[in-house]
Amino acid sequence: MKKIVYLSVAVIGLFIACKKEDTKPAIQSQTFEINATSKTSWRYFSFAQNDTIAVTDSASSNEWDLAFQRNNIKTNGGKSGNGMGSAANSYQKGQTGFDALKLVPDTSTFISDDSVVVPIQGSYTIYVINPVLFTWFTMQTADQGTQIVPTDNIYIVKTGTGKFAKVWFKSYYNAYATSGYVTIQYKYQPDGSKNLE
Amino acid sequence: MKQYLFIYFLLLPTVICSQEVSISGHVTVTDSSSVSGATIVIKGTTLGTVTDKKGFYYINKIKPETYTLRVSLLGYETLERSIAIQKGNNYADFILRESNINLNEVVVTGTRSEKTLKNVPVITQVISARQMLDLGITTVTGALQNMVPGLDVSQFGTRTSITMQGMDAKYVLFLVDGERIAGEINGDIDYSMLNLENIERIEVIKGASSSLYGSNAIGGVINIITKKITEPFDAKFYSRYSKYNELFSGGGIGVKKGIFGSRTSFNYSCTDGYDIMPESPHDWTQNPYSSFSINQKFEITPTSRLSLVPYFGYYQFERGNVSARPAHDLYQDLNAGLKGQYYLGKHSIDFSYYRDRYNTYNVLELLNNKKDAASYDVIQTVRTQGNFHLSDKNNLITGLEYNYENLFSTRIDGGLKGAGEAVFYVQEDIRLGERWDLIAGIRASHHSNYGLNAAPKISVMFKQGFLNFRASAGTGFRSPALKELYMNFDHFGEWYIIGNTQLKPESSKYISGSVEFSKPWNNSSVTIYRNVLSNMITDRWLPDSVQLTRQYQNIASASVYGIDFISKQKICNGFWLSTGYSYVHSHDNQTGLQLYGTTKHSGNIAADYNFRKKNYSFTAQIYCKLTGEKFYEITTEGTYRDRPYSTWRITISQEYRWLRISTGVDNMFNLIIPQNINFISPGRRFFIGLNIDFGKIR
Repeated sequence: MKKIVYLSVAVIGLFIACKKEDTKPAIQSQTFEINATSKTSWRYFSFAQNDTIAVTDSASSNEWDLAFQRNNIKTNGGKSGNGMGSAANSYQKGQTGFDALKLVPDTSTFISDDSVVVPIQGSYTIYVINPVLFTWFTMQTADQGTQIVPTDNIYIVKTGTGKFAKVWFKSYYNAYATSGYVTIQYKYQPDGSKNLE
Repeated sequence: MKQYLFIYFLLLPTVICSQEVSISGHVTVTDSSSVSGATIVIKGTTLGTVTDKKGFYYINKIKPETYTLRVSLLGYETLERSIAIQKGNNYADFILRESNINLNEVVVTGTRSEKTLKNVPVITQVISARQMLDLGITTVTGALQNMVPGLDVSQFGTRTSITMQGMDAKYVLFLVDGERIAGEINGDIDYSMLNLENIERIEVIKGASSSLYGSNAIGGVINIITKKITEPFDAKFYSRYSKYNELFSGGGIGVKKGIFGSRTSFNYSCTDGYDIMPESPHDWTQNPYSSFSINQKFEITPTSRLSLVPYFGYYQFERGNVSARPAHDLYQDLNAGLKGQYYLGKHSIDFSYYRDRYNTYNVLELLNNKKDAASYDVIQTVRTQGNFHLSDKNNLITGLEYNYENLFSTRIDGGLKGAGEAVFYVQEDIRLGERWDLIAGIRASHHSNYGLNAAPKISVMFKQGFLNFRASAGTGFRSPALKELYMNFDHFGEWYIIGNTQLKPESSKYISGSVEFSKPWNNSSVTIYRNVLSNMITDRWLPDSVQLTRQYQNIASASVYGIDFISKQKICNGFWLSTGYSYVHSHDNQTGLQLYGTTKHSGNIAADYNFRKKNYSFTAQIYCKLTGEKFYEITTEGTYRDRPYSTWRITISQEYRWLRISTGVDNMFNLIIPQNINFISPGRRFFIGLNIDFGKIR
């Protein structure tokens, strides 16, 4: 009788212990506002450090993951740098899309930085930026000139060191309604896997 | 016996001396029924009253003299009669005639003094409060767009803008009781600030015929005259509701007793807004908003010679946010002033002080709706004017004025800038014989930025039976705006706009001639005019600048000429046909083409039917506004034009005693033109309106 009790307790204990091992800790969702107001210099952001960082030579450093200048965004790869950075569109949108994207899809097409034709003032100019992330906003007319409206697409970004993060570019304005402050919500997977839960 | 006689003679002088000097009488209409609420005023004094329910009036404490009495009531022809008032009781009865065309109506804008519509040498169009009421019109811009040919209202997203006879809003001067309004952006003021409940009438004068008012009176002057306090008690309420929860409502309460009168007027309006261009969901055709305003006026007449009118007002407008920015606009206006008038026999002196401050804010939604000041504009005016009645045929007006403006904006150099202007004006009004009237005037000013400027004008009128011939010539000017002088705007490093402190005022030369025909069954006028503008200020790219920069310079010029036609024709009893047509030919000397955004042909037709019985009145109107092709510009991609269109409206209004109900359909044929900034209608809309006159509830 006592043996059966001890056995069942041990078995139950095993299950509980097994369950604890099965659950991996979910990544914390982070929000950050990047001051991208400068029209001439780039602001470099690192997911691992959860902050903007100073970069002396952007072409050779692999510490940075995203670079911001007004509404333009670079990843650390392709024509912009030596890192392994690129981006893909998950075709999900908003908070529901952000939560639903738990794994990097195998069908994702990652594109690294290239020369992109950007319309400006009725004409155009060429920037070296990420062609996928270029779709994070649309420009709409308003009487203050134009306003930048986020498309709420959820993107998968490959960082400078080849790790993954899901990113939502939420807003272009800070609390003072000044333009040039890009707010991002993201989940960065530091272990290098495709798990983005 | 002798004792009694003696006492009697002793007392007699006191009886005579204390005997009141008064005048009273009865006011009726042609069918002998009494008229209540008619205003009787003794010209040259502060005395006046309103007829009671039975049509009787009584005015006392008058100094025995010969005066002109004026009797007026909306919907009837104003009467003036010269009466020699003697000691004791005086009597004067008046019979009013119904009139749809009141040529005895008093107007002030053309000459900075009171003149009747038929005698003013400057052709003036009057839109009365009654007309607006009958048609269920709830905004000033709505009233102007409907009734003034050649005047167009367009909406650029959130800003309402007007053009008159092909010219921009900066060439049209908007006044309220002769005073300017703060908060102008590119010439447009915030038109929703104009409290409709408070309006008595709107006077419109085209061209530089009103240059006595100063800057911006190049295309014309629109002067909004507010209600006077005449009735012992007056309480009114109005409300109009339409699709998209669009509500306009307001009311007023006035009292007058003895030397003291007060009137409080308030307005509230709001809408959910709508969007006819779903491709840009964050930029609606009509943004949601809510706004209210309150205006208070006191009239104090301590003696029959002195009148003091202190007044103040507050306005607030808050726009709903449909954009991607976490902030929305809030506008506030606070204005206050004092007007005084002192009569010295046949002469009088006016003085006025006025201050108006208009603030714009960004309401930061992410910071608990904190108000962040974006700009403010303050204008102040102090003025004194002498009106000298040199003889029955000769009136002289002279005045001194000082205007100061202060503008704070993040887009101007140093944030805060100001400018002042000292003004002297004089105007002579001579009647030569029975038929000729000549008015000549000059306004000379010294501006803190560009120094001296003089704007003369002359108008002449010749009457021949039922025809009036008028001609006017004058120069107008527009002072460079503080923004044009001091702008320093950096558009995200892509390009800059800078001001130019060397700017001179724009100037114009205006000439016009008109013929007016009037009989009781028809009033029509044809006006031809020519307006030549030079030294026009526009921004141009600076060719040698390091970064792309635009600067304001006096380099443009244009000429405009055209014909205006307005007519009111009686078809049969109670049935009138009104038509208006405007032809504008404009020429931009820079491009060699029509001025940007002008329409050559525009017009309106309205058929009114009005039926009135003892306590009941019925009005029906069908109205059509025709707008011709609007030209913008020719680029390499083609010619930008807006096609011609017509819009129709029907209104039915019924009034019984104290209640009036109006219903109607706006844009009857459901016309929607998404790309046209002048026509932002969301389609056919029904509206219903209510007007209550509490003073008539007995």
